[in-house]
Amino acid sequence: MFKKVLVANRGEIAVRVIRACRELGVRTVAVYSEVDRSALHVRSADEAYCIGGAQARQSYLQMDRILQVARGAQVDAIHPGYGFLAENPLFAESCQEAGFAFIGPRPETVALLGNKVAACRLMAQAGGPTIAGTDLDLSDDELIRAADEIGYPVIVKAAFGGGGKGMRVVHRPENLPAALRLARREAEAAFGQGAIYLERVVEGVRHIEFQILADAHGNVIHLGERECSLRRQYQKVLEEAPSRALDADLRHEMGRVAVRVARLAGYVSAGTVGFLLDKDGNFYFLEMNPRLQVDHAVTEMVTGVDIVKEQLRIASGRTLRYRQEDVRLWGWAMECRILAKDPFRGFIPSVGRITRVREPAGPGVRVESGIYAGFDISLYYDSLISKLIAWGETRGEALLRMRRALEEYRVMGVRTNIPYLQQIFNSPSFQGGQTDTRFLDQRPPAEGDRTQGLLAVAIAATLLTHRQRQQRRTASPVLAREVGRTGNWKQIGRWMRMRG
Amino acid sequence: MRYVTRVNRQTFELTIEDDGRIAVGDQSFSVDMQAIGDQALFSLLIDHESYELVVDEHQDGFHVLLWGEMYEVIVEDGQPRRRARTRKSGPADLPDGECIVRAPMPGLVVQIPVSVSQQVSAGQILLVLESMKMENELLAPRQGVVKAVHVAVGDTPSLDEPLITLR
Repeated sequence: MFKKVLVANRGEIAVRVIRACRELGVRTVAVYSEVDRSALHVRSADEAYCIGGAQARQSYLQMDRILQVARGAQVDAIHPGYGFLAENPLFAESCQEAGFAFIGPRPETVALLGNKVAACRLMAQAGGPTIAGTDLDLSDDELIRAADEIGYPVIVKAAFGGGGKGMRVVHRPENLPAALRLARREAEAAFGQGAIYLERVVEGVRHIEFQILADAHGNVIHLGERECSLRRQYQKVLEEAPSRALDADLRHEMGRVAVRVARLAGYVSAGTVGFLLDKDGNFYFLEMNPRLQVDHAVTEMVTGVDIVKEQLRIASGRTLRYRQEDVRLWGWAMECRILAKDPFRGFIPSVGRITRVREPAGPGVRVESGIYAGFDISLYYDSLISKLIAWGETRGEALLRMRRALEEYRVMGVRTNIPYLQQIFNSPSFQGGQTDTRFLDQRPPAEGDRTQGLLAVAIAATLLTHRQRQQRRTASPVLAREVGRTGNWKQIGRWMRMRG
Repeated sequence: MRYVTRVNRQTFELTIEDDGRIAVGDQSFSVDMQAIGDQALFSLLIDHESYELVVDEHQDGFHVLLWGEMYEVIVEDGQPRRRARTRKSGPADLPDGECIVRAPMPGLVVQIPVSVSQQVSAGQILLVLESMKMENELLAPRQGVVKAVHVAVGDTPSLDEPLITLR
């Protein structure tokens, strides 16, 4: 096993990797930007080094500076986390050339799967349909012509991307040029490479991903699927494992194809094979993500496998500790992505100092957090501040635990999407598992659909706060204005009685 | 003391009694509200039923966050209501025919493809603002001439800060 690992990332995922290292007795090295001096990953690591300015391209995307720190600190290996340099084949290669193990797939695998068009051809070899799409490296004019052939709506995707960055659906030809321009710039900013391609949009489908583990000795297994259909504007919002849409036979069939794809790609480490699944049980290859996924934790909860520790073992040359028949799914897990975005103001980013945090706890609850009270949320990085994971023996129990945990979760100082997540968990169609990739975009944050009993509580709270403020403002007694009957008191009296 | 409250265009009349109970019609309830720390977080007991909520005071009333729902409550108690100083977050023409484009979110200015005195048409890109890895193109709400650019590339304007004035 390695003696010392550099974590080339920040936020919750850097903390997650550091935890895995701690459990394995491996020392950790954090790198940070000028605004991240007090970030949780810096506080959690054994050593920490500043690598540049606030913008990612001046720090977390600076390969040379990261490698320089790795040399100076004499690490054995580098874990890229997700995002930033995780899927940059040049970084994987540079790590190896500099004599560090890259905790992820081989550089040539990253390059192969990074070219999502080549990856699709590979998947077709594994047997199964893929979705119509364009080649990479096309000019805007060529892409516009290609879109006419594919047929609208088309989706613009970042070739080296993930996480919805640079992704846009375009319904009309006149909107395509602007979408291409924005997507190229976003991809450039987020991944350091601006290449984009187009794909036909398949509507009303589920997004299913299979977790793969593969060692350097030719052993490849899958850890079952994750249901990743719940997205808002092409970014995953919550995930669960297993999926309601798969039975044991379909899981076996899709898992076998996923393993075959990983074998064909010569895959080593943890990765994910993504499929679209329609209502009739037909599945289409989408991509293979050569990285640790944001949502890996739900798979960990239902399989008991620590995926990050497995990655470290695999990278140090060990054989997989599990055979396919050892993998058993137990119970149900869900994950919510907690974002610093204001659901009541069109999900605009919310930046500033976190003044108070109360993280949920109790049975079946896990929090992967990158924040604490006193930490400043910066506009330079992703809005993901933590992940909340709930496990239950059944889907129902997991769901109710998540609802309970969301209610416990308090983040003050910045706005978060927690209220929005609570609304999703209160939605009967979500509770019934009837979800597809359009589910969230068809349901904006609820307006006016409120529980009457809670309305009374809200009014009472406001009154008391108001009175307190008034008493503070003026020492003299306030003369009440005689107010007319409003006719609603009977209603509110009823709600007050109903509220239990 | 009697109060009139408005929530989502519905009006309710309540009284806070001398002993601190809240009365609605012929019903009354014991209420006990405690601030948790110095933040806007409160623990509320209504007839011993426990709730935790966030109450924020805004120019236009109170925002109460409870069980994932936001309630906007306005209280009237006979005091003349303070005039709501509504800040315009979207572009709007001022009386003198000028139009200020403000930051729709906190962000980093990555591009300003226009300059002072330049003639712009409606829908033309005035500024590119990056925030939490998403790029946002701010477009001219109407045609006009750039009168002033209030920020430079690399600046990090906060929400509603003026970016560009058109005339």
